[in-house]
Amino acid sequence: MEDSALEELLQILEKSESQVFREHILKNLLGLTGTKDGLNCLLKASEKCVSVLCQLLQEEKESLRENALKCLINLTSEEPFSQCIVKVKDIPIIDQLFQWIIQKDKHADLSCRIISNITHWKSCCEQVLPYLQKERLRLEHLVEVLCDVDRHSDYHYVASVLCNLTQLPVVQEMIMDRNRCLLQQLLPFTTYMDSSIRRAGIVGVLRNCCFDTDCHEWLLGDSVDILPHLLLPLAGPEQFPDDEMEKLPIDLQYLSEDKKREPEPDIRKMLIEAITQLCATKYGRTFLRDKQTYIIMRELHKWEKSYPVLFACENLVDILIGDDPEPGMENLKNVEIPSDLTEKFEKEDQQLLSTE
Amino acid sequence: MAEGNSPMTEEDRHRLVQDMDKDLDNYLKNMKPKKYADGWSEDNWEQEMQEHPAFRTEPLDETRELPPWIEALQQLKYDSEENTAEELALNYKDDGNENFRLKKYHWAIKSYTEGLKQRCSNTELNAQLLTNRAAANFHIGNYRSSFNDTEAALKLKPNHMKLSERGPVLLEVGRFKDCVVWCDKGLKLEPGNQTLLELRKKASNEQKVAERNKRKAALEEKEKLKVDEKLIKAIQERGIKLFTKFGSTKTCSVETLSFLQPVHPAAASSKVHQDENGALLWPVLFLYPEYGESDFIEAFHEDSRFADHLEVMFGSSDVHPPWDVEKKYLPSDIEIYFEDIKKSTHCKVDTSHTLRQVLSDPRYYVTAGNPTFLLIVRNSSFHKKFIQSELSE
Repeated sequence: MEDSALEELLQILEKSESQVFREHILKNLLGLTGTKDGLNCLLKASEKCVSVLCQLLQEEKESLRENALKCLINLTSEEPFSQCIVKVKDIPIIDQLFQWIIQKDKHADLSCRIISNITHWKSCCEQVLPYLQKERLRLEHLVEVLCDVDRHSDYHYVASVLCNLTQLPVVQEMIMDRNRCLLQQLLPFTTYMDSSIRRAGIVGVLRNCCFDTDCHEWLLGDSVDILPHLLLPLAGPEQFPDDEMEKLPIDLQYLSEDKKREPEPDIRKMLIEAITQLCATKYGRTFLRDKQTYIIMRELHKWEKSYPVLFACENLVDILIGDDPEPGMENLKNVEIPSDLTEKFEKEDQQLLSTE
Repeated sequence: MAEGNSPMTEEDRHRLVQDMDKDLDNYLKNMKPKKYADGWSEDNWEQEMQEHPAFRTEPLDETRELPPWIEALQQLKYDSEENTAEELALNYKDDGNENFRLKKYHWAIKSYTEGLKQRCSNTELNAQLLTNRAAANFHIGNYRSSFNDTEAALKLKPNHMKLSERGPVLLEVGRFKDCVVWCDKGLKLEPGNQTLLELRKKASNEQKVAERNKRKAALEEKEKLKVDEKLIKAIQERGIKLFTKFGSTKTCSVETLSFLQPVHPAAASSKVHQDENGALLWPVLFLYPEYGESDFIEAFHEDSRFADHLEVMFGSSDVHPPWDVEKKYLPSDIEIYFEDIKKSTHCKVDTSHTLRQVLSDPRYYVTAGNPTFLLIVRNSSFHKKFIQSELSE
């Protein structure tokens, strides 16, 4: 499409008096945003495009708003468009999207997907942060919306939003507020079989939180008791001898013979990575060993087919069954690794993963 | 009354006064000395003070009848002609609160119940009555009632969070999940509330334990079924038949499995089972009819011979059972019989046979869960009588 033609199209969309005409053009635009070529073409007028669509969200007409939202979902899957949308000045668009989610508006699900797309980009994530902090309880409301599963909308993408946002340490801190039980409310969803989007989002949040070594004792302690929620999706139907069984976290004891593991390899990998993070301190390693994490990993390893998951699993097992490091090096994250070794390990990892 | 009569003279008057004085003297003279009983004496003033609403220092005793003065005052306060339903409900609530404060929970509950009975239209007040009654019920351990009250209060006021007993009561009645949800709701309004944080911890832990126990029980049940099925198969394969207490004969199946539960009290915990190789271990009863004695073998391996057992039990020439006064029960002299139920006769067992061989005998039926055998000394007088009675049948 010619630049001038695109310009014209957006102008009509912005200014035309004819609703029918605008709707027709919007539908075409939606089709355009659905393809890689279309997105490339729109890139030249990204700012204008986003701005026009944001204006359309203020329209009375339901179908206009809905299609504009769908266009924005497609657009925000590319970083430049996401950067445009967080920079929109004249309309408080991010605020509006958050409002729609929290008020469980009929556009809530579409709004979730846009926010989820935008926050996927770390550069945009930080721009969204002020809107999260604007109202004291906004994060709490998001958790509330997500946990209220009886509603007609599904809100699964709220989990993705939370996952993206918790990349930021400040949001990690917010969700791990000791005076509230936000993280705790998310825990049961690691085994929520109705939506892999939701599971992936929640497991992502947990993994992000596990990166904060200072919180490990709290996470593992009985205020949160995170370990069973990370292990349960990885556990299969295997039965263990009673002495081993009794040492497992209560949630993993006596699982039924038709117990299924997490079906998505990516989520399994994230779960293992989260547990591996918890191995960073001596406290964590001792805790994980006492809770028989090893036997769950051992059985998973026998069953696992996906190479990246096997790899993650082996890394974790190496730490679990390895000798503990010398005094002074107990916090694995503080151990300095010479750069030549880092390079060597990375190369080895690459080789291992490519031999699949 | 004097009107129409001639006026009273001075003399008449004097006489009348004298008569009246005399009457009074007589009346007093005839009156029995009687003590004034209604006043407060040294003995009862303390009690009287306590029963008087103005002087009472002690709280009312829940278990005893109300003093009359207090009852009268209460009637004034609670008369439905003097008060509207809402006023009454409010009065009862105040009473309830007062009793609650004094830890008289039973009375408090009664007051709140009376208040609710007024069915006043003030939802707020009714919710308060329910909330407070829930609290009182909680304090005396009526968790179920307390729970019901909190439910009712929530129905009246869905966002009513002043129900401080709701959380603990949910824990007490085992609704752990609801308890966690309740705590989350509370923490939203009051972040950092230590009681709620602790309660949530407790409830989620209890829930985990409850779910684990449920899973464990389900697995055990399944395991038991498997064991049962294997046992039934083993018994069927050996052609062993059962004689049920209703007098019919059956092959072993899931339905008749209960007949394998030994009736003999000593054998109750030794039901037939299998060892790791699948061999059956039976609870076996040896009867010694001559002395009315018995021996119970908890786990008779089906492949061991009767002779082996006799050797262990009677093989030593030094040790004899105390009832064997003649010391005649020797392995070589003992004969073993089982009952042929169908023919009501006894069949002799070859002691070199194993239990499996005997139980598979077409004439043999397992009765009451434990195979039973008669042990008799060959050629003893009892043996002769026994043979005779067998022949005469």
